Amino acid sequence: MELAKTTMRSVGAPDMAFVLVPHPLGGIKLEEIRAKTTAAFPDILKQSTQWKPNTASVSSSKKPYPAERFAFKGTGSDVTDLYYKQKWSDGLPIVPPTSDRVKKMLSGTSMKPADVIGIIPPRMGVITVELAAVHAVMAGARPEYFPVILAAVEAILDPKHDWRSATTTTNPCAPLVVVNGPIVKEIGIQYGVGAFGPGPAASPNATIGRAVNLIMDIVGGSQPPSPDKTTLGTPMSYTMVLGENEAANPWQTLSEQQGAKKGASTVTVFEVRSYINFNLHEPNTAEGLLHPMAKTIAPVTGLAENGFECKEGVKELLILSPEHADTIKKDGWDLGRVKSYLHDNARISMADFNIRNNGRKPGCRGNEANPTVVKGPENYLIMVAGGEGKHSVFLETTRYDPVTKEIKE
Amino acid sequence: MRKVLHKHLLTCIALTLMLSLPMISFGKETSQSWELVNPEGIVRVEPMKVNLHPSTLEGKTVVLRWNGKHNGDNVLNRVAEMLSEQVKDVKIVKLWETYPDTVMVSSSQEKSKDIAKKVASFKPDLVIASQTD
Repeated sequence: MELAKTTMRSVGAPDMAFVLVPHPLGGIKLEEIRAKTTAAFPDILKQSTQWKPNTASVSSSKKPYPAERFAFKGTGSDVTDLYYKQKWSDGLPIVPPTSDRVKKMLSGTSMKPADVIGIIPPRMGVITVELAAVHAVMAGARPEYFPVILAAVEAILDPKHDWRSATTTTNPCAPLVVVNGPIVKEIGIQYGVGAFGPGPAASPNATIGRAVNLIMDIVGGSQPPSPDKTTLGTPMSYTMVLGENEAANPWQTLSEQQGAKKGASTVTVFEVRSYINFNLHEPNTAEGLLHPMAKTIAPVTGLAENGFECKEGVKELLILSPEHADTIKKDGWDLGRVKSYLHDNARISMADFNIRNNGRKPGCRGNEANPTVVKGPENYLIMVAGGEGKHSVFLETTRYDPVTKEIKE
Repeated sequence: MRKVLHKHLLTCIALTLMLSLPMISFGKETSQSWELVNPEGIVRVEPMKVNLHPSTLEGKTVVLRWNGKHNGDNVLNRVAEMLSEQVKDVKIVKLWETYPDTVMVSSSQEKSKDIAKKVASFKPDLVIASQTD
């Protein structure tokens, strides 16, 4: 109910008529649904004819810049405690965002502190460059990382990415930020051995992702238990950032597949649900590697997740290790063939899907016995990252489109 | 004997140093004055006027909107049955039957506007929507 009320406030209505039918409604039998609805019907009728709108204003009359300053006396731990209490936190200690530190962070960008990057749902908080710097300080980032943070926030707020849905759903989504281009090496983003793992002190991978999540959750006002309704949450929400190992990629980079210029420094953001490791030491051919990958991608996307959709479908991300990419390339396969192979071989059984979907037929392709799990080869995005070893990773993403933005220095 | 005493003395010094290290590392933090920045920012939304509801549904048009979430259509089907049974001359429109492309959680203002336009085409007196999971 709080999510519904927050959503109404975020579109400018202080209130709306709501009737609460006890959760859950998904995954229960039809007679239970009908009984719950019957019990709620008197209230539905009452709200339909007796409810009156609230005329209170939901908008702030304050300006977004400069951000509010306040004096505080105490230790560094006291500052962390204060920010915990105010829910300005991800649960980890913070670097206190003093005016001086924020000013230093702003030196990392040529953008003006008052520039507005966007409005973050569901709270509809205004994110300025200055406010983003506050979060970058809190996360422990360095000024040279700041342009990546700004580009990532801009990308997440692109309407195609649909942050409002991603951040309020029960499905545990987490933003993934992939960085391409010269900036990867310039600021030391991890792209090789252990790229997804914890980094050294103030590592860009650790702090960029943390800053992005702090911004989206605090300015956007979305933290569990409401309005973020994620059932279990995901540890990926602390940070999930890596660079592409471009020197080991024999094909187009991820950002080029997304339409960016070759050699540009970019971020590409995804919302990630499942993380699957392919432990493949034996295969020494392209098909030997891609066959088990396709056969794993299919049930994860189409049966575990709801990636089998009638419309454009989700974009799926396969991160090949340099050694796996090299094996595939040496077999003479180009990127198009890799994507087509994955598409042709990642199929689900409609009989299995119908059991999963409680007999409810999909809106299309219901007459196919073994449909491909996504719409076409272009739904697969391939990148290369990591160090030596025979492990690649499949990241199941959602219907929230990946968005690529150039990083402005 | 002297060698043993020397060894014990060294052990005592090492132990003393080891025990005092945590006190050195985690000594009491100093209180100080800070000028901090509030990270929350302000909210900006365009105020929206919400219409009054009709005082009765008799003879009125009610549009039911399902966004595709699990069993929301089954809830609204039951609401439609009960409205028809209990409210005289009520006209019920199931939006998802006329416009199957509205069965979605809108991801953009453009899509929301398109759905609103389709709802408005029936000139409803009331819209009842489901949000289920």
